[in-house]
Amino acid sequence: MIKKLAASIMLGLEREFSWTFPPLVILLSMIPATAGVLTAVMVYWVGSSAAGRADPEWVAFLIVGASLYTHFASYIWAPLSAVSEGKASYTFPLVFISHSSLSYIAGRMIASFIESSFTAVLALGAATLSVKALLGITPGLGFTPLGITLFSMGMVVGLLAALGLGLMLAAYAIFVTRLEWGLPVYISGILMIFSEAIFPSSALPAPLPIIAESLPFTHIIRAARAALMGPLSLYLIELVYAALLGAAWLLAGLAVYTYSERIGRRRGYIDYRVV
Amino acid sequence: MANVVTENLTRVFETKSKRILALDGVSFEVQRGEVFGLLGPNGAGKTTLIRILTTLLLPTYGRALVGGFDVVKEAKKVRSIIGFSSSSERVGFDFVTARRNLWFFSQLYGTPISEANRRIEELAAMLDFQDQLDRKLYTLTTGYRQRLNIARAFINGPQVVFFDEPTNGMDVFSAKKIRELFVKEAKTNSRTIFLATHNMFEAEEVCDRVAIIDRGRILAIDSPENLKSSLSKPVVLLETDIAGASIGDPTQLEGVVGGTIKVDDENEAAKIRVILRDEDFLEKILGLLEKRRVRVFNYQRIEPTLEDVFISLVGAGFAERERGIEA
Amino acid sequence: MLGRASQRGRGALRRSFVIWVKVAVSRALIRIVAMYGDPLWIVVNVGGPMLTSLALAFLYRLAGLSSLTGFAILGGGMVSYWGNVIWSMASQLNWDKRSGMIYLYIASPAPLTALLIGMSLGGILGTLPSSIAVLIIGTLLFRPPFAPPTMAVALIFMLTLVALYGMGIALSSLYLILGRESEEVNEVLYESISFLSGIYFPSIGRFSPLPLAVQAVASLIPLTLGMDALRRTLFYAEGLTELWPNLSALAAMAVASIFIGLRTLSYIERRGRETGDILVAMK
Repeated sequence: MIKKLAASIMLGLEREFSWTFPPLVILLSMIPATAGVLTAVMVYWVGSSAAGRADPEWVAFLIVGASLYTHFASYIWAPLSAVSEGKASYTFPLVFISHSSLSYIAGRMIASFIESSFTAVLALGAATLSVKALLGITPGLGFTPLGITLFSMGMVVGLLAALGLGLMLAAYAIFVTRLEWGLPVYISGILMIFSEAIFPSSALPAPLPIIAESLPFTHIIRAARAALMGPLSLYLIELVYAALLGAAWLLAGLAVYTYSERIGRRRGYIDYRVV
Repeated sequence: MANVVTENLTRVFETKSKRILALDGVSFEVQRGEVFGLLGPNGAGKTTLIRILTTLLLPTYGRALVGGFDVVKEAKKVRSIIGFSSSSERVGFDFVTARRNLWFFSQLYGTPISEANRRIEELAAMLDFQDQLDRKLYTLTTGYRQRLNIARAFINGPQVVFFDEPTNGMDVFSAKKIRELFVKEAKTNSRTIFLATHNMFEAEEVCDRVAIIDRGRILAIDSPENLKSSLSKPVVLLETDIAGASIGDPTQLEGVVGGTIKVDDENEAAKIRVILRDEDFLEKILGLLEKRRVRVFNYQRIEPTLEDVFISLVGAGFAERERGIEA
Repeated sequence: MLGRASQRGRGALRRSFVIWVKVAVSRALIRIVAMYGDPLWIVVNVGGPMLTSLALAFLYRLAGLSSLTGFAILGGGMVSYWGNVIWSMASQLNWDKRSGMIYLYIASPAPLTALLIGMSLGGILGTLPSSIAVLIIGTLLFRPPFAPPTMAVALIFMLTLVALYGMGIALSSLYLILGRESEEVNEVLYESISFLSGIYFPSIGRFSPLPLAVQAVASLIPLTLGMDALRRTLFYAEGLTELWPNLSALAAMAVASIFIGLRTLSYIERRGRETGDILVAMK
């Protein structure tokens, strides 16, 4: 199991990084991520300036949330690459036959998670600097050793939820035969609205905040904000929520994936190619 | 009347570190209504030649005419009278029906719509996929997609049709249908069918003439029968135990002009196919094999194939050539 | 003698024109058939722009001015076209190269210009339902104060699309020289240009929060001028008299980008035939 997982992580990392000069890969992923964060900041700044209540604290809130959102929005593509593309290249059926699909998907998710973590952290830094340069304000982000350590710990805890969501998407990828990119696009959009990436969930009309509260991603973002913006007292609570909900998502992901694989095999979807 | 003419056609690819002579002074003519095969191992220059003749690539030296038009100076005129299909390209648009795909390709040539519709029906009937015409491409099986790919090459009623490995990976039934279409189109509609292949059986079955190409040079051109009968030297097949594989390059054996060894690991056996300078050398080879403790189960003189012609010309078979074994 | 020669010349010209039109129309039709023939296409195309514009409309509302939610809704409607230009137009020839289809185009008498114009036309018509869906859903949910649509809006909208798809033509020729990295370049261009051109917020003009130097750079992108003009007509009821500089610049950019794109394309095609470089995807 460990060997299979390690091999899949290595394969995933190679696929993410080795097609060109690795720092170029990071740069090419950091630019769109930063641009995405800055778009959200500018929308807020234009709106709040027109209303006469622009607040740098809000900018900090947006930078952290939107940067982490780019992390989620990036790694959710990994299961499709592993399963849908894998069907086209016949890799996935072979992995399935060798009884390694679970480790394979987990490994590919972890590799993508690592890559997008780098990207998100760099986008966070680049967006902070850009905001200073473009708007002339200093967002109140505490890049102290403690803040960075807590932020990083939060990201690591986020792996549980990432694996859970990844396995659910892999289950979907077993059955989807065309336009497979449709669902991840919707999930990205839903996460933008519900994970507190760019506004507090309390702004949503009732009963929608309940959805936000049940997402581990919301708590990962809240923990990250607590680490970099305070109050630190919130950090541990949010981290525990993120871990518990993440573990629940992982268990759900495992159950959904295992079941889907069984049904997929029965109905002949394991090697049914995606258009 | 010649539909394809090449004169001293040469193509050199230059990279920073090396210079590759992909075509080396190729000259030949192909007539109207002829099925012409270009037979050679991978890397022999078949695709480069087709790329030049279909105006995708410029020659370094020499001249090529297709339908009487120069492929360099009159590329547009050449393009309007040719059809082209390669097993390596995509068949069409996945979310569109087979009929609509064929119609689209007919419009690239400005074919009138009624004419295009007639050809679509006709080609579908000839290749036996009428019932698939209104299905979206992504729902078609590989065999039907391949047939569609071939039909596409004929959709504009071309004077010359180029195919690059057309039946590569195709099922037997589809391949048979396609070969029948090639012969029918050449003989009934006087089209020139230009076929690059490394499939010996295909070249023998459908081609009026075959050019054998290796390392960018045409080594021989004639009908498959003439090419085979020109091989006056005896071809012998020796069936041995697995130790037969250890003899290495057969041309190192005395009296052997060329040969191939096929190893059957599962049955622990080997098949040594050799072209001998003279029948007398057979005894010497048997003696040598015995000395090397190779058990020979059976040996017999066999009818030569086009690959034997190739072997007699270059000393090695397609597989050895592709692996870079020198004669 | 001369008369016959000129008749032949006219005949050839007419044939070329007929092929050009047939190629453009059939390419447009293929795209439209592919998109409209499968309702799922429309559903998946609506998702990204709709959810993003809704999220940003919420942000505008929270920031303090509900009246600005229209910026986000309009952005959602227009970003569908920008997405179509980058994913289905600019990178289409690159994709065609990788799948081998480009060789069929080059080996046929079909002019690549006609294929690209047809692709643009098909793209515009095919994207229309997603764009309209985003505008309708967003308007129903947030009720932003749009000024009543005028002829000026229609003109600006069309000119923006021409300039935008002209940019797609220019990019598509450049994408021919890219390989595996084209997808990453797509992402970089999509997000960066979405930001700079101010699809969701005014990146140029008096409401722009960006420094003048950045605004100057952003003004070089046709989408920036188009979005600025659209916002000014739809939300500030400005007319053609105020917007003529935008319109003139947009028209010039459209002509320039189509011209540059087609010249680059023919250069790349010629160079490809000489070196064999653009044919690398072939065996």
